[in-house]
Amino acid sequence: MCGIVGEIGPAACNREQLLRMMGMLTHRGPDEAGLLVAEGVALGHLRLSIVDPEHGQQPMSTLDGRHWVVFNGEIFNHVELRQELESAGHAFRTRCDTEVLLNAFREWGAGCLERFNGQWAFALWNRETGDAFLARDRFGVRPLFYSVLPDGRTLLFASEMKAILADSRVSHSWDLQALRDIFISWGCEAERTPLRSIRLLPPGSWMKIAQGRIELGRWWDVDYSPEVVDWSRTDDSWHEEVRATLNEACRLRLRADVPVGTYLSGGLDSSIISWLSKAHQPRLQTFSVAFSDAAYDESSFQDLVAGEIGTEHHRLSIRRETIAEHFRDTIWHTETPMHRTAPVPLMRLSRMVRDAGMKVVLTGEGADEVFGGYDQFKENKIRRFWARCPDSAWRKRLLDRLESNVPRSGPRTRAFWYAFYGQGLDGTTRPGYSHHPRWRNGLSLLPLLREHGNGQGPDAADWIEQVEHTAPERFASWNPLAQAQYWEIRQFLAGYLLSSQGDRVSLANGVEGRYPFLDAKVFELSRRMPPDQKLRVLREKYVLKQTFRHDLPERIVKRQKYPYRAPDALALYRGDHRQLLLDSLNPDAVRRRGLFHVEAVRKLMDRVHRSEEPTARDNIALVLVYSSHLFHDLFVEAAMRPADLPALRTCIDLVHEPNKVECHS
Amino acid sequence: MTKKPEHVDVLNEVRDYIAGTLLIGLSDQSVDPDESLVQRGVVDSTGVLELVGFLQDRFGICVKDEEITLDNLDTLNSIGAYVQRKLVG
Repeated sequence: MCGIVGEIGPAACNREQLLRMMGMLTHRGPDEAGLLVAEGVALGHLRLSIVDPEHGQQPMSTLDGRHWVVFNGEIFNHVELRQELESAGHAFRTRCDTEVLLNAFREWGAGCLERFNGQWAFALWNRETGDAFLARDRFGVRPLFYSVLPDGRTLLFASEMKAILADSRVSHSWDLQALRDIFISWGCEAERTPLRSIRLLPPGSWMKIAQGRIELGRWWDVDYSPEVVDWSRTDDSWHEEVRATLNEACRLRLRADVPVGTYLSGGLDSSIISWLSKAHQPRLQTFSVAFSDAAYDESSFQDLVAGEIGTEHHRLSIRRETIAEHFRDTIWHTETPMHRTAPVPLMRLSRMVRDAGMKVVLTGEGADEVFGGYDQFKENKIRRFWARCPDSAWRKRLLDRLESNVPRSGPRTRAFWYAFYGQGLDGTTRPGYSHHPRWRNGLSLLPLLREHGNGQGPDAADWIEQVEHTAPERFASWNPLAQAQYWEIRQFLAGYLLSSQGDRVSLANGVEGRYPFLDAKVFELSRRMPPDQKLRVLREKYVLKQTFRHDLPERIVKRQKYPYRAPDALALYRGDHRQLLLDSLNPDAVRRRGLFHVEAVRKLMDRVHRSEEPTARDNIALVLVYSSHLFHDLFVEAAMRPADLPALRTCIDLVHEPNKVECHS
Repeated sequence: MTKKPEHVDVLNEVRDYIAGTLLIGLSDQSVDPDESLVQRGVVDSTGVLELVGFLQDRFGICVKDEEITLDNLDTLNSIGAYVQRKLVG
C-alpha cells in the first residue's frame, strides 16, 4: 500500500514541486520513494513494501518502456491474472501486482479494470502518446483526489488532499456545498471535497487525459437489477457458497510477503474473518479497541472470540483523554469534518499494529452493507410495512426493536420517535425512502451553518430531490432492501467508513486494511441472493449467521448488531483537553473562521455545558462544528509542510536522460 | 410559585426556552404557535426530554411518562394548554 502523486500538463516536469507533494504522504509509504519526470508528466510514489519488497519499485514501466504507472493498492488475484497474461505472451521481471497491472492494461486496455479483484487507485502514463489514465476500485477503498488548475490544462492528483495543497498554485478555500453534504449525509456528493479546488474521483470510475482534454467515466457501479436474483436455491446451497467464497476472499487477502493480522471488534463480521484467516495462518495475531467507558466497550466479546479461535490477541485500551488528545491529528489524516470521534481509536489501533511489526490487517468492514446488517435496513422495512396501514397502533411498535435507533432516553419518548419516523411515511416510491429519516436528521443541523442561516441555504426538499435524481437507471425495479443498500454503499461506506474509519486512519501509521467482504466475488454472490437471505423478517445478516453458526461462539452469532462508537462530546468537552475545544468554539473564534452562526454555536455550547450527557444531536453537532474548525485551521489556513522522504530508490528523468529507463539506486 | 401563570405567559416562556435553548439555529427564527415541533426538527426524541425537564423545573409540574405525547407536547399551543391543565389539576 502506498501513496501516489503526480502532475500532468505543460509545466509538469518540475521536480521540486513533485518532491513537495511526495513529502506530504510519507506516512502512507514509509519504506521507499520513487519518481519520474518527463515532458508533460511527473509521477511520484511512496511505498509501503508488502509484495516482493526487493523489486517492485515505482514508478514502474512495461519492458518496452512505453507505459509507466504509479499504483496504490492491491490486485489480490494477480497470481491468476499473471498466468493468463504469460500465456498471452507477456514477460515479467518481478512478482508484483504492479507489473500485472501494466501488462493487463497493455493486453486489455481499460477493460483490465473489470478483471481486477482488489482495492486500488493508479495513474498510468503512455510515453508515446503522452496520454494518461487514472482509475479507482469498485467501492472506493483507495482514494484518488485531483485538481485542475485555472489554466485548464494542468491536472494534479494524489492519494490525499494535503499533497495537492502542497502545490502553491492550488487555492485552499472551502466548498460550503460540501460542508452541507457532510452535515446531511456524512460524505460529499457529486465528487465534491471540503475544498473547492479539489475533487474526488468517484469509486468505480476512470479518468482519461488526452491532448490536454479530460474525460471521466464509470466502469462499475452498484447494480441490484432484479434479473440477477436467483430465487430457486435452498438455504443450504447459499451457505455453502458463502463459506467457500468468503474463505477464498480471505485466502487471497492473506497473500503478502509480510505477516498479516486481523481486527477483532467482538462482532460477527470480524469474528468470521478472524476464524477463516486462522485456518490459513495458524499463528494469527488479532487486534482490538477496548474502552474504559463501559457503554462502548466490547472487550468481553473480543476475548471470547480470540480465546475460542486461539489467536495472539492485542488489546488497546482507549480512555476519553486519548480521544481528545489525538482528535486534531485524526482530522489531519481524515481531511474532513466528522460526525463522530470513532476514527480516533482506530488510528491509535493502527499504531499498535505497526508497533507490533505488522503492516497488513484484514477487517470485517463491508459486511453490514453487503449482507444487510444495519438497523437502517430494518427501519426501511418497518416504515414500509407501517405505511401500508398508517393508522395501525402496533406496526410502528416494531421500531422499538431498533436498538441503535432507540435513544438512551428509552421508551418514555416513544411517541416522539414514532412521530419522527412517521414523517413522509407514504413516500414509499421515492428513491431515497430508506434514508429520508437519516437525511432529515442531518438537515436539522444545517441552521448551524452561517450560509444557511443567512437565507442562502438550500431547501431541505431540494437537497433530497437532487440526490435522489442521481440514483441509477431502473432503480425503481430494485427491491427495497437493495435500494437502501445502494445509498449505504455509496454514501456511508465510500464517504465515511472506508475513508475516515479506513484508509486514512490505517495508513496514517503505514498499515494497510484489507476487506474480504468487499471482494468482487463476494459482492457478486450477494447480488444474486434474494433479500430474505440478508434480512429475514427483522433478523440481520441472516445468511452469515446461519453459515457460521457452528464455527463461532453462540454468544457472538446470536448477538444483535452493536454499532462501533466512541465517546464524543464526553471525551472532547469533559476531559483534560477541553480548553482546546473552548478556544476553538468561543464567539470570536467562530466569527473569525466564518463557517457557523456565532449565536447558534453559543447555544450549542450552553446546552452541552448544562447537560450531564448531551443529546444525540448535540453530540454530533459539537463534533461536527469542532472538527470543521480543526479542518479550517489545518487545511484552509495553514501552509503544508512536507516531511523528509524515505530513501529515493527510483529516480527517472526522461527530460535529461531519455534513454535511461531503469535507475534503481 | 407565587402566582399561577396565564396561558399566554406559559406560551411566551416556552417559546423563549425553545428559541434560546433547543432551536439549533438563530434565536430570531420564530416558531409558529401551531407548528409541529417534531416536523420543524426542533424537538427530537431526546430533545423532548429536555423540554420535559424544563417544564417540570419551571412550572413545578410532574410530567408523567404517559403524558409525553404529541397531543400534549408537539406545538407551543398544545404545550401551553397542557401546562395550564396540570397547574389547575
